[in-house]
Amino acid sequence: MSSAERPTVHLAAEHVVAGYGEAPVIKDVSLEVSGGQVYTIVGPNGAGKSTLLKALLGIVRVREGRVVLNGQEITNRPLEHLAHLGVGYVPQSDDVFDTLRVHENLEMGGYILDAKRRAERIEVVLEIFPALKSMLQRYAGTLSGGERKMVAVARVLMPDPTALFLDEPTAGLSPELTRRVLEEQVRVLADLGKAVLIVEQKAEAALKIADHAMVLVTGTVALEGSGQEMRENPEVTEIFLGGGRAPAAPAPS
Amino acid sequence: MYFGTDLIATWGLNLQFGVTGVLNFAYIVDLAVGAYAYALMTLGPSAASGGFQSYFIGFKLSPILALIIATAAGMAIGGLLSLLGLRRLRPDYQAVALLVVSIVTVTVAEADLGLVNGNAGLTLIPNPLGGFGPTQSGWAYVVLVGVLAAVGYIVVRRLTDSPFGRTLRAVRDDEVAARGIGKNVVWLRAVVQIVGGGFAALSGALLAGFIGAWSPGAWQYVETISLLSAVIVGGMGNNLGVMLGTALVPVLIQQGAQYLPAVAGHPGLAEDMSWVVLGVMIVIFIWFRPQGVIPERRPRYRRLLGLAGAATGGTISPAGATQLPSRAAAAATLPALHLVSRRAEGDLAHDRPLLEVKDVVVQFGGVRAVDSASCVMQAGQITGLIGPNGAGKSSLINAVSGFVRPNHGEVLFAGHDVARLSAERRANMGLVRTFQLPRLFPNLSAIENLLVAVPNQRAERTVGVLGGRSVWGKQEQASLETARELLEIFELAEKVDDMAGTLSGGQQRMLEVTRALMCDPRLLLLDEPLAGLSPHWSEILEQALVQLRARGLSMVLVEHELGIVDRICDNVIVMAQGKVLATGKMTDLRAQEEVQAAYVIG
Amino acid sequence: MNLLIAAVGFGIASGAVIALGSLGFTLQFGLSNVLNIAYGAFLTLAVFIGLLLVNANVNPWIAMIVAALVTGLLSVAYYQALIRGLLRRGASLGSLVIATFGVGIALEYIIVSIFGPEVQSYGLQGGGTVNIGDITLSGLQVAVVVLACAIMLGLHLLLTRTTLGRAMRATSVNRTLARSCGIHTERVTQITWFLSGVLAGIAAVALAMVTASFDFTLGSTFLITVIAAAVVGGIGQPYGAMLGGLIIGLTTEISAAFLSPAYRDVIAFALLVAMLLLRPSGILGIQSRRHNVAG
Repeated sequence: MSSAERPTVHLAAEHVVAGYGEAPVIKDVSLEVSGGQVYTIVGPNGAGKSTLLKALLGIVRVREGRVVLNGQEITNRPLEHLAHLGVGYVPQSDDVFDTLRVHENLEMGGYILDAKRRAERIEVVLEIFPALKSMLQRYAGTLSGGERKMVAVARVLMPDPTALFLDEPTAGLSPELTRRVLEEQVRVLADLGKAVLIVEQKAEAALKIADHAMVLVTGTVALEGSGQEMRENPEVTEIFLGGGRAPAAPAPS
Repeated sequence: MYFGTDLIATWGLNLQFGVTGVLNFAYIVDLAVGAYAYALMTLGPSAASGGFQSYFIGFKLSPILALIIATAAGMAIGGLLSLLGLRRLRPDYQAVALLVVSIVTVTVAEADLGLVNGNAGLTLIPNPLGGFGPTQSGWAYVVLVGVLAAVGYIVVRRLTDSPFGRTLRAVRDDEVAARGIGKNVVWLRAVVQIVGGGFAALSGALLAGFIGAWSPGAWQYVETISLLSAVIVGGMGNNLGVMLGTALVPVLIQQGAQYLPAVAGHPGLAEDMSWVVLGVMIVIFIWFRPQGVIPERRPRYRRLLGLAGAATGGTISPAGATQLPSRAAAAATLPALHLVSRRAEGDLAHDRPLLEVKDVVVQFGGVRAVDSASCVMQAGQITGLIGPNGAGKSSLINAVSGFVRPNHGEVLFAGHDVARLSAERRANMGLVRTFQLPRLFPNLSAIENLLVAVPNQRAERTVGVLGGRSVWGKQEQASLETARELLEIFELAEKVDDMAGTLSGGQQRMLEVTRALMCDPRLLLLDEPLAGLSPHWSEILEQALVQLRARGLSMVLVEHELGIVDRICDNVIVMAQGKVLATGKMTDLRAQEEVQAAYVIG
Repeated sequence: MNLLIAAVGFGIASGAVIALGSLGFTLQFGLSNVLNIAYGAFLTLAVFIGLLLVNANVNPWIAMIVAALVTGLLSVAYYQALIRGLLRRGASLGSLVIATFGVGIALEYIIVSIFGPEVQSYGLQGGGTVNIGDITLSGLQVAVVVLACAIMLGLHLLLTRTTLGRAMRATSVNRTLARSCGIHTERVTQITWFLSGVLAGIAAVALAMVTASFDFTLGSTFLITVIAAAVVGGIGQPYGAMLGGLIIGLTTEISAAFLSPAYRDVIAFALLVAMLLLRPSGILGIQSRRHNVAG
């Protein structure tokens, strides 16, 4: 069954509180994203963006609130179950299997598929990233930053996931490469009908491709709105380039 | 008798493992060296013994002199073993390396090469109190061992229940943080290997003298585990707990097993079973009660410092955070802060930059984290270091503070190139840092975390360890005063005696900054000190930084929240992709397109 | 010269056995990051299970298979009951080593109390010899070398050609990412501990077959050789273990031939300590790419 025929995907986080130690890092965060949309989370370092993503995936324990995928609660579900539910995750670093060859990375990406389907999907993914064809036998650990990211994204696409969690996919990339990754890959993924949740520090570029976005400051939602609104909101630039404090968190809506 | 000798050995082992965290699987070698040294010193020449045992040398010295020489020999071997610690290996690798040393030594001794009579071992070793063998001087020997054990206890207490012991515990808790506050970790570990080796050797010599014989069978590597089990069961880091553990495990279980009636058909059953019980006990304790029967106790300071009840809160008023107080006014509000910038004031007199980074390259594999970065930081200023994620800010801080050796370039601190110096040397020079994720000593209390950071402690010198409180008491008292005032300023007074590991994230971060101040820094490198702090804590910290600058302290502030950079930094360095992109005032930088591009657009 | 060639022959034979034992050790380490000292006791256990069967007139090769399977199952049980729990509790590397040491001692002395400390033998000596040039090996040694090569080839194919093997490597290098791909890393880890127990069993019984006699200390002595091979090759890396086994086998046999047999183990151990000091990551080891002090 192709992506288009699938019932549209819907992911929602409701009043999520999460963190490692005593004090929660994520304090009462809610968001919603559907198939075909890009939801961008921006915010200064230490705001808890990565932690939020990990909480939604069950890697960091959610203490209050719930995470719902297509009407099914997935709060604190073991990570390995999520792949079967169509969730794909690209971590910020350690995003490939360094000691595996590129083709093995792709095969691990398609771990949940049967052998025949896996072979088919490799063909599909190589169509999307033709550059990978020449490096299939290389070990992923020997690739350059841009090549690594390509392998990471290709890997996550193997099982044809419906909801994608991307943690700073452009970290360490040049401005030009950043623009291309976001516009030519991330945006395209959403246009294929997937729900994309992306964490980015490069606010301007990431907001450009967003349907909806939030600014996270010290674990709470400081600002929220459509991508367009957020780009035009002077407060967003304020938070990033200073000149004032982050606005106080608004009352929960 | 066995209790006494075992006790001397387990105290030495507790000093190494319980207090300092050195897992020495070759401890029994120290003990054996003591035994052999004692035997060789007291026995006559090999040829004179009628030729039934052969060994390479014999001195026929007096037993008391032999005891002393044996102890010294153990210390020497301990020093040799500590050479294995020169390479900073994973602790379990190092443990295995020591285990191998233990097995190799026993193998060499067993091979009959005329050294120490091979597998059969040495016999007819004179008893320190005259005569041979255990029967002839029973109770007198017990008294001798008892007296030596008591002396051992006094020595071990001086080492473990003192500021020096606190430093050792800091090494155990977090080696990296200990280097960050200027502690020479390799040397401290060598010291406990040497002293512990002496304890083990004395124990071995006494045993050899008592039994009158010594052979490889007595010091197989498992014997180390037997002693170790006393530390684990009794209580790591607690000398009295270890005493209890020694009574329970090596003495009661292992020696006691020898007195159980033999089971028909199974001659060694009781002894075998005692090993099984010992192995199982180790596992049970590590699983259920890793701190042991009597856990380590930390000294309490709340009462001593008059901090009864709830603290009165900070001296810094969070109000008016956006206004910069004048230098003089700021200095007046914070009495304690003058104590922490003694050396820093001297740097203001010079014209040269306090820190100069020239063409520094830091490379990990193929990635250049810092790519020919050059910049200067002036004395008396707060220099901001900003840039997007992965720009190389933390790597630069690591290169400056000595936690990463730059592949190329110079780091000039007050005119000296420090690029090749160790992190601890740089910390002692006044180049002190904090970490992006706070690194405290989790099993030391909040105030101990501060006290341990004081540089040039008299208690850490030989004279201080031996001389006790009369040597270091005054300095400790002064440090306590400073620590108390700092804790009050940073609103941590209530947490004085709480273990640092139990503090909240924000409190840990504040405590780490406070600890860095205790190091008497000249240049303080703060790696994202505000990340994850609540607005309340942020304001306290911001005010403190401003006032410290007023007292002459120079700082580098790595920060993502540009608001504070704007408010308090005199000069700002922007990094992107490992390079220094621009320097200047924040207001000017904000207008520059390339800075905006690096930051917002990517 | 003949002496050297003969020693090389013996070196290959003992290197093959060491490589098998080392493979088992390195697989556990790769997946769980635990230096498992109790592995030595599992080696001893396998040898004595083998002895029990051989004494009951079971064919030694069948005894090897049974001993290997039993050891494999006990290895999983041990992981499941102890190691997993300690890892979840965040036990320090030091206390993990001590705990595995405790298990090792307990298991070793349980074996002693059942079988006694006497020197034992499978009694398989004698039989034909095989001559290859100057190398003279017993038929048994040749069989063991062939078996070891077959197992290593099998393991190579498992790790590189099958989904399970790739999942093992993937779990070893990046557990979280593996989980996000849907790999049941816990099950993969259990399978790995089973395999490593099986390898321990085969290696131990093979060792007992080719050496004339053994006692309960076989495991703890062999363990150090096994660790030496793993570390020399690069701990956690299967090919490193194979290479390390060969190197240790050759150096020990050659030094035994030219120096003194008493120093056989000492040479291996010296190699281990030297390696730890000079290049802890081993010959095939990857130097850690990111040395991230600041966390």
